[in-house]
Amino acid sequence: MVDTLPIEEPEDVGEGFFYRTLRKHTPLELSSPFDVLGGEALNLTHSDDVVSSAWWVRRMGYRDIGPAELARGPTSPGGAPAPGPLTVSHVRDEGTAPGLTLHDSRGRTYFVKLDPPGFLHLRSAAGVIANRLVWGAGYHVPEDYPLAFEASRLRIGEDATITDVVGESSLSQEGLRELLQRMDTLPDGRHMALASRRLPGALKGSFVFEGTRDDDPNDHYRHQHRRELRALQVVASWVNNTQTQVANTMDVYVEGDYLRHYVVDLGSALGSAGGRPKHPKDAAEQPVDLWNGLARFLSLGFYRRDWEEMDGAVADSALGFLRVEEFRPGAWQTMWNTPAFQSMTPADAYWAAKIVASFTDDHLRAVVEAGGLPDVEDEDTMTSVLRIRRDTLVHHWFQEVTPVEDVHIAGRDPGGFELAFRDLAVEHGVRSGDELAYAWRLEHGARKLEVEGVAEAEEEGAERVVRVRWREGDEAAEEDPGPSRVERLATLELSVAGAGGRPATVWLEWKGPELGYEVVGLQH
Amino acid sequence: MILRLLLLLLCSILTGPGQIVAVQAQEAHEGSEEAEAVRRDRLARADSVRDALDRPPGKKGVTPTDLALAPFHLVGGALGFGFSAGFGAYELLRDFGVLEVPDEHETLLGGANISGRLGDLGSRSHTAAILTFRGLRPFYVEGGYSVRHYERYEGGFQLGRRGRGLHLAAVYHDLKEPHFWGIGPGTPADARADYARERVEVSAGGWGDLGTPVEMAVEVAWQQNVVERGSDDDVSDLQDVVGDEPLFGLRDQTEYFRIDAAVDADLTRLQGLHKRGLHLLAGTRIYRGLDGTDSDFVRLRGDVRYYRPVSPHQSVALRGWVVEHVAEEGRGVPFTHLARLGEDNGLRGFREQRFQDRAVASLSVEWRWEVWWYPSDPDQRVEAFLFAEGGTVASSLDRLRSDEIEVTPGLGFRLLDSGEGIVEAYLAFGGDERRLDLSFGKTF
Repeated sequence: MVDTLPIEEPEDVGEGFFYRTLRKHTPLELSSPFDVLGGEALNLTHSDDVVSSAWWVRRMGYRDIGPAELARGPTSPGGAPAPGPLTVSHVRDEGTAPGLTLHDSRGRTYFVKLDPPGFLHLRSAAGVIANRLVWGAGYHVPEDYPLAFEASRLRIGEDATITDVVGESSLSQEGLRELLQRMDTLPDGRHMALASRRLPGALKGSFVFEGTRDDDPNDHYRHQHRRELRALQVVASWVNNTQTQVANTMDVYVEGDYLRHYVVDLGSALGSAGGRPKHPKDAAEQPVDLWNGLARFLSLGFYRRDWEEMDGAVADSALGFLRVEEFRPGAWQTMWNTPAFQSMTPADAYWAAKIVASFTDDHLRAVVEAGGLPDVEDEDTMTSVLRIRRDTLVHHWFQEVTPVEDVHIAGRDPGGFELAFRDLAVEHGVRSGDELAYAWRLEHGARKLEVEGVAEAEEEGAERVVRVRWREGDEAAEEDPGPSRVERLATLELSVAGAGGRPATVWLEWKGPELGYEVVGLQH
Repeated sequence: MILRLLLLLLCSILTGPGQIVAVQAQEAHEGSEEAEAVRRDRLARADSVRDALDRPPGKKGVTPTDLALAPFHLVGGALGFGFSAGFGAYELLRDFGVLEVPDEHETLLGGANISGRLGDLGSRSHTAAILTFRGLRPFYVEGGYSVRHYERYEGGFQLGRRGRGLHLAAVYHDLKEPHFWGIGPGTPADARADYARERVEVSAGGWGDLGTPVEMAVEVAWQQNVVERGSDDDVSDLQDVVGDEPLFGLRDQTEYFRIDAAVDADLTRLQGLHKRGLHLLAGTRIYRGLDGTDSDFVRLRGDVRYYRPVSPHQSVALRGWVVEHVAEEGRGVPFTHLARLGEDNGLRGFREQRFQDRAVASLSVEWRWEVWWYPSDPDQRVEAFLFAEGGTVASSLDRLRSDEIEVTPGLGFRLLDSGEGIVEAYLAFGGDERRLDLSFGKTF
């Protein structure tokens, strides 16, 4: 991977909350109706795909990953907190559910967030399930575990501190006990939490979704033009992680002396908002939404959004607020805008949707079981929700483009060729394959070719074949293009006849009268 | 490695264990140097690989997209800065306990049993810092000082809180520059003058609701008032403007015995986030002149508030109130005790105390709607409101005239936390001039 070459160890840049608010979020809020960001991603292969890198790795949809492996995700054998005492070095108590920094008997460090009172399993299950799914989608994530522990296992470490609304002070046994007494426990008296193992390496602060990191020579592409960062919004929409933002990312200087980029803190996914269940507003509108606020102000309060009429009541405390009826993949947004998400094109979203489509129902079931939900009914519900959201997401994004893959020339003659491809919309039931016709348009300026047509596809196994013809019988042959590659390149736009969705562009290279055209690229 | 071990063995024979550690340390050092050299070599090779690549597109300079976004960055950055600065100041004031909000968390002053808040200390006091010490409950001491040097000090004890209680308090209140335009409706805007007033009061009273939504309060007090020259250099002193005309209370020290009785019937209930229903307040205050103060009068007050939610995020609020002073004997009502109209006391389009007389009537209507609320805590919200207010003054209620009613409309925003108004800002029209005001709390 080109971006994993060794670099000098960078500085820790921290989180940059005010930087994010001042320079990123508010301008994006104002510019969003005008959609000034655009253009296709830059880090693509010729087949409109992404290679593994320090940002993302080819997993589901690229190699065979069974449900058991997916359920393990990023975890390592014996990676969960070891049995025995857990030493507390720091407590953060600024909300409903505190966070602890614990060290197990093997000296490993975990960042532990307790489930909020009244909602056991809410954060821990959501965090683990989302962790496995995002890992499967290819992103670097920490090792997250559901952790049930007895209060008696906790030991106060030397110089342990607690940070609360007043500030930082020494942590006492009494203080820790009072804190734990506020929290609910399992029937056997154990506390329930999401434990995230400290990332391996030196933490160097969050990455931002725009520009590049100055002290990382491997950081070639502006982040808003990286497909995997743009498409992270689609994966986040699937797992309903509205808190996908700068604060929940981390650059780590890992073994090999390069920065690896992680997505962290997935405890606010699915029906959880971390310290509380989600609210209908969370996935529909951002916390500070200037345009909607202005609309409400100017309309004297008559401007309403659908989510305002929703009942935010939680049916199950372990699942939180998570519905499928109102899931709109195209309208879903994170709590905070990012330049990368605003730059996302239908092609980026389709790429992520392909990955999501590769998760089978068995995969989902296995991941849900890893989350440690309290009963089978909860697991059934969560699995169904993920399945329906998956299908809704795939159905939506597959119709925004022409989802053809593995495009190649299956047969040729002097006046045309047979174009073979897989139509993922047909394969995934988004569209019926019966009597499906495709519109095509072939342009090759150097050969003075500009032809279009509509052809019904023939099925050959899993492939569909469309005949592209520009010359019949004894018609004179076209001019030969020049020797340069540019002159030999042609484009074929392919779309489903009568359907919406951006046409796919197939790049063809003229190899001469004997060999004809060869597919050299694909763009959705 | 074998050579190193042999060397180590030889050293251990020749030099002893102490030297082994030194050798090991030296080896470790040499090992780290070797590792560092390997690392440097890898870095150099990586740099050369990167140098061989085409110029990374991510490192290119300004693009058309950057130019298109520039105006949004300027405006958004300014808005973001304002929001962040405001929010940061709000958080800082909360943490230091200066801005009091209904909050169970301790503040930094809490350890000393001191609570602080921002408020005001009377007409034209500007912002005041008010600190209250309750470390020796039920006794308390409170002091406030404002930007315009107003002072208010109070000490006493208070037993009980909501529901029922007793209090005994002594107050010293020094208002430095309230304004006065004259008595009656239609006083000219340029007739403004200032004065200063010192008030000392000792009071005792009690309140109780007897388990109903109706709360009653009674109080007796001794009060002394002295009026002097005001400190506002931009306007004339009232003493100079009035000249030889008699204005009761201006040149006389007044001393009163006061008896108060008030009823507060809060018949509202919460419908979602908004109040619904009636809130009635009524009171009578009897003043008896003491020690040469030739003045007995009674102050009667009635205040009706009605709240009606229209939708989950919209509501209408109405308030009508009247005050009348009935002079029973002597020189009547001193000007310092007249009923007033202006700013948060009806007629937000006019300055505070703009109109004064023995009787006042006012009606306010507000259309309220939310423009922002936080999902997890809808009580934290920003409310916008349109208002229209009308009011007038006269020497008695039966002399109020409809053609003397002033009307001031306007709009504003209000920040609420746990249902309580924290701060509001509004723009009002129809008065002597357009008014933009920022005040703590909530009008009604």
